Amino acid sequence: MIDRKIRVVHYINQFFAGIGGEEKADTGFSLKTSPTGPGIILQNELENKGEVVSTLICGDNYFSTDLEKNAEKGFRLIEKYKPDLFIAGPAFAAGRYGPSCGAMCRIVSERLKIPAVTAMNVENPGVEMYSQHTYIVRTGVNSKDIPDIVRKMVKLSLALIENKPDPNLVPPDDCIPSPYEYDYFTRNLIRNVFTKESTAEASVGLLIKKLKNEPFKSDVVKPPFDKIKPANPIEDMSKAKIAFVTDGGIVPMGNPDGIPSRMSTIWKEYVIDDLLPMEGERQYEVSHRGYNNFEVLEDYNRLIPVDHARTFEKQGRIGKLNPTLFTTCGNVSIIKKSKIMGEEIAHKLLEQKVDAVILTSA
Amino acid sequence: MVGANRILRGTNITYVIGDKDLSKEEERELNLKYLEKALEILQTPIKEQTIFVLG
Repeated sequence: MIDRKIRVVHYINQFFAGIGGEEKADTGFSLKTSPTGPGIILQNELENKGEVVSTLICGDNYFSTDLEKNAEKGFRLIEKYKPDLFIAGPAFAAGRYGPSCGAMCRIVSERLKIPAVTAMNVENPGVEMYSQHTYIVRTGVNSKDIPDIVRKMVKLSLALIENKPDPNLVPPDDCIPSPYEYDYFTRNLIRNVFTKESTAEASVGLLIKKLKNEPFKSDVVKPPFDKIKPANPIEDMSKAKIAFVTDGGIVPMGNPDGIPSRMSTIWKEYVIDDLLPMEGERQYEVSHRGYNNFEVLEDYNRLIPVDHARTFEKQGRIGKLNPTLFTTCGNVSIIKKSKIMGEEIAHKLLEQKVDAVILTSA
Repeated sequence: MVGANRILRGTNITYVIGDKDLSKEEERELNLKYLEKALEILQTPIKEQTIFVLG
């Protein structure tokens, strides 16, 4: 705990700073040494516990054109104020302001090892981008709620600064405030908790409740699935380059690159004609312990329709079949890690000028 | 499949586009239909995640 006034730096956009609306969104960085806009409410809420020593302001367009670069710029401007706490927003559902607040909070908390708190609506892209990196209090969409939200942000901030161990949690991660109690987006930090019942007792208890149609709260929270804008359709298939990607675990005989058969975090690219020749001995095996591989080992076409695709290429029904196959094992995979693999594969596909992908799963 | 927008439902989990109850020729024919359908879906405009079925 800090035994003096907490030094707070606050980040807001041009709108909340009173500079102007959309017409001023290109405005660059500026600093004020007094609480500004929602910062006045923040200062009131902090009472005599803390002082807003500086307000960093930036236009939404200016900041969001390059989040990382501008977070670095912003960080350099506020570093000298030696804050104990960094607050950004609240940003509500504002699609440029939210990511800017998230980027600032992330860089400040990582570099200065101090708590950083912002607030957004669930629809704000900043939630998806930064909830794992910083504390984002949940908000509605209406800026008239600012006083209530700022109160929540301050409550969470003070808890973070106090860093008090929760007796129900197992050290060393026992000082993280509960995302439910403090109403912020979970950071996906898995913590060990002491419970009165054993796991067996608790699981059977939950199951009985479920069977009786009684309300129960699962310990496992389903990860949110991203909504991704669908790609435009292919206009002329006879000119399109099509690639196969699979999470069915097809690998060369002996699995030379060691793709794990569960919780894989790697993918590989193999030449289709070497891996899946139409004639001769089988050159592939399956590294995937999530399904019975027997049928796919008998015929790879049951997982990936390669043979027909080869014919289609010859017949000109597709422009080209990408000569390589991208493969991994999708068995109890970690979504976070899978997203990274997906991005890496997508990058390769773009490099190879692939127009469309057929992704097969088992 | 998380995030995939054009989804074609397969026959089963362990070998998505096959059917052991069919003869070799019939299974090959089914396989062809799946590829044709996949290519058709790639040429279909959609606004949100859509699950397609064969036939």
